[in-house]
Amino acid sequence: MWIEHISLKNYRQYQDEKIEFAGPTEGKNLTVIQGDNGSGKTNLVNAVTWCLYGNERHLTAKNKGLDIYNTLAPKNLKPGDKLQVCVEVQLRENDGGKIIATRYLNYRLEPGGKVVKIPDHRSKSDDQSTLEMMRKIGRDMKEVEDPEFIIQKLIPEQIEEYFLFDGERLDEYFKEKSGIRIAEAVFKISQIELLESTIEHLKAMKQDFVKDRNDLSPHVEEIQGKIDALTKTLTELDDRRKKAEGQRDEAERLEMEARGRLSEAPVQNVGKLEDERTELEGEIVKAKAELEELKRERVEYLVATAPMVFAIPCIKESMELIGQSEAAGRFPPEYEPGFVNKLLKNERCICGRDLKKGSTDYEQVKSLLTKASALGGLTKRLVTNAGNLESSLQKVRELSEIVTKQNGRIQNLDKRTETMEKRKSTIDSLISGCDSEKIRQFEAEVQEYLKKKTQLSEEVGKLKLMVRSTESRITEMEKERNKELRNQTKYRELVANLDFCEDALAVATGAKEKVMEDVRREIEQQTREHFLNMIWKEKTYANVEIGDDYNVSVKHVSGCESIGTLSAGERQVLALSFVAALNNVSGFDAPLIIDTPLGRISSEPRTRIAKALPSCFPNRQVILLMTDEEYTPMVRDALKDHVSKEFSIKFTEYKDGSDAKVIENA
Amino acid sequence: MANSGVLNRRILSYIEETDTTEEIRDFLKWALGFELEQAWESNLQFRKEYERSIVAATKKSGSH
Repeated sequence: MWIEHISLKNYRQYQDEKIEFAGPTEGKNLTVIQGDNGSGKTNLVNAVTWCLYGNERHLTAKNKGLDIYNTLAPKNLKPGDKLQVCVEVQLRENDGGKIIATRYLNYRLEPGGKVVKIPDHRSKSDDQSTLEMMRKIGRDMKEVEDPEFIIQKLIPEQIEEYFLFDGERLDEYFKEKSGIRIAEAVFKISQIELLESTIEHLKAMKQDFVKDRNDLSPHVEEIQGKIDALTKTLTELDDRRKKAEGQRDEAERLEMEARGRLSEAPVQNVGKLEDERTELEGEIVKAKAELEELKRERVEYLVATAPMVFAIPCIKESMELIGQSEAAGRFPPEYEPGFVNKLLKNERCICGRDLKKGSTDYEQVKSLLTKASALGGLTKRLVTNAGNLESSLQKVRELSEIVTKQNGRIQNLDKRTETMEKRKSTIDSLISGCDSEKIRQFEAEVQEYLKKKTQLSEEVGKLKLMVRSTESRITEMEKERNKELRNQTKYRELVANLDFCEDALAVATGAKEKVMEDVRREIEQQTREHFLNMIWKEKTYANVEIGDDYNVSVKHVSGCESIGTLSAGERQVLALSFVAALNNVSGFDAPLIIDTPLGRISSEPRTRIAKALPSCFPNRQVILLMTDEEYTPMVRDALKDHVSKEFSIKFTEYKDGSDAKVIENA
Repeated sequence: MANSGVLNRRILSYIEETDTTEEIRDFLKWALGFELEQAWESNLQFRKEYERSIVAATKKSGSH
């Protein structure tokens, strides 16, 4: 790829310029742009970096802080007029493709003469500039939607400094910490840092996959084992259920058969009938015994009560006599002999009179006591007897009622006994003449099968419940197993991802090591060749080495290390050699623009370097921006066979600004 | 494979010549392009893109 032209409009000292380059051909790959210090050489490099990346990488201290537009441009504008800064770089690809990158930044002249930037919402740059791109696709030029992306593809911004650079600054590589700087350069340009980043990200992904894998713990086999055990249990239960159902059905069939046999018997329920008869016999015996007892009680009662019935007239008369005597007061008074004896003993009457022993009163009371003793208790007995007589009368009056009740009980018992005897007689007639034992056997069989059937039905019910419960558990376990199966699928996927990650990591790590070593070795080799080819002290230096740590070593012929004693010019040669090697090894086919490539080289060695320079960048467009001091006649002569075009910058300074023209030398 | 054109030919060549699967080659070319573009803005995003690409490559290789 090479730069076909660069157009500059109102960009810094360039008001309106277009530089057309020639493509690199066999042996003719150089373009020289010659100009004095401050004429605008470095701003040509800046114009390219600004166009491609929106950034002026090589601004001199003088230009920093100055506006990007040419200060002469507003002079021709009226207030409100637009001022556009534009740099266009047209690139030609080796396959014939064409890319036109155009960056512009718009300003407007304010009434007070101030120039202000017009913001562009499409801008992706800090300075509000906008990049547009046209690309030849097929036969047509078409606008590219994402020009920054294409630029990044062509010359990644990270490594731009190795294609568009200031020669005078090259020697900085080998001043301090060169190993780190060089390693950084090699890593960047050979894209080892991309491999490093890929490796780091793959390691992070590997950790993620490992963590995810560890978070999943498939238990499918364990759960399947449980399901199998449950299924076995279910089969057993179901077999038992079926067997029990079969046994139940068989019991039912046998029961029906027994019932059939029973139904064919002349009498049904013979066993019951016999039992009933046995019971009736017992009841009848008991009833008859009770009947006898009742009859005996009735006789005894009548015997006991009959005399009173006959004595009723006498009782009534006696009672009348007692009543009359009592009413007439013919009952002797009642007294207590003990009480009277007490009065005599105390010798004092109840009324308070003295009953002194031997006194008349005492003797009279004593006489009365003796007389009264003969009739003592008569009244009491009479009263008691009157009560007994009344009681006897009452018993006679109750006789009829009691006998009626007794007769009723006897009649009832008689009737019940008769009924029972009739029922017994009926049963006897029913079961007489039949094989009751056989019938009872049939009945027992029916009962046995019925019992068995009932037991088996209960067992079938229980087994059905157990089957349902087991089925339910199996369903639950199957759900769990399916979940685990999904986990296992995920697990397998994770393991596959992890394996893939590890394999990719191994390849990436291998690539990194291999590329690092290859690149280091090739850069070392090319740097050595270029350096020894360009360096003017042919007999001073013997070798250039780049160590594993990327520290560059320049060996004196004596074998001593010379890197620390190199002059600025020698360092620049070393740097140029290194950058050339770096470019050739990078694999990027991009043009080079080198500002002041021989700036630090003294006059004599320049010719030698100039002669060697084309071979440092074979078949690659190299634009050299040189001062008069660099581009001496001898250098020009040394380069002439390789220079396709030669330009001079005519710089004119005015009061309000400057203007530079790039004129192709005849 | 995005951006393979700008990747260092040496790296691509090594990847092409390494005894590995086509899926890993394609994945690494994709990953390098992805890193080149610096198309990831956060850890979450690079993880998402890497995972997507790894899963797709693993599926393609028939390992799933």
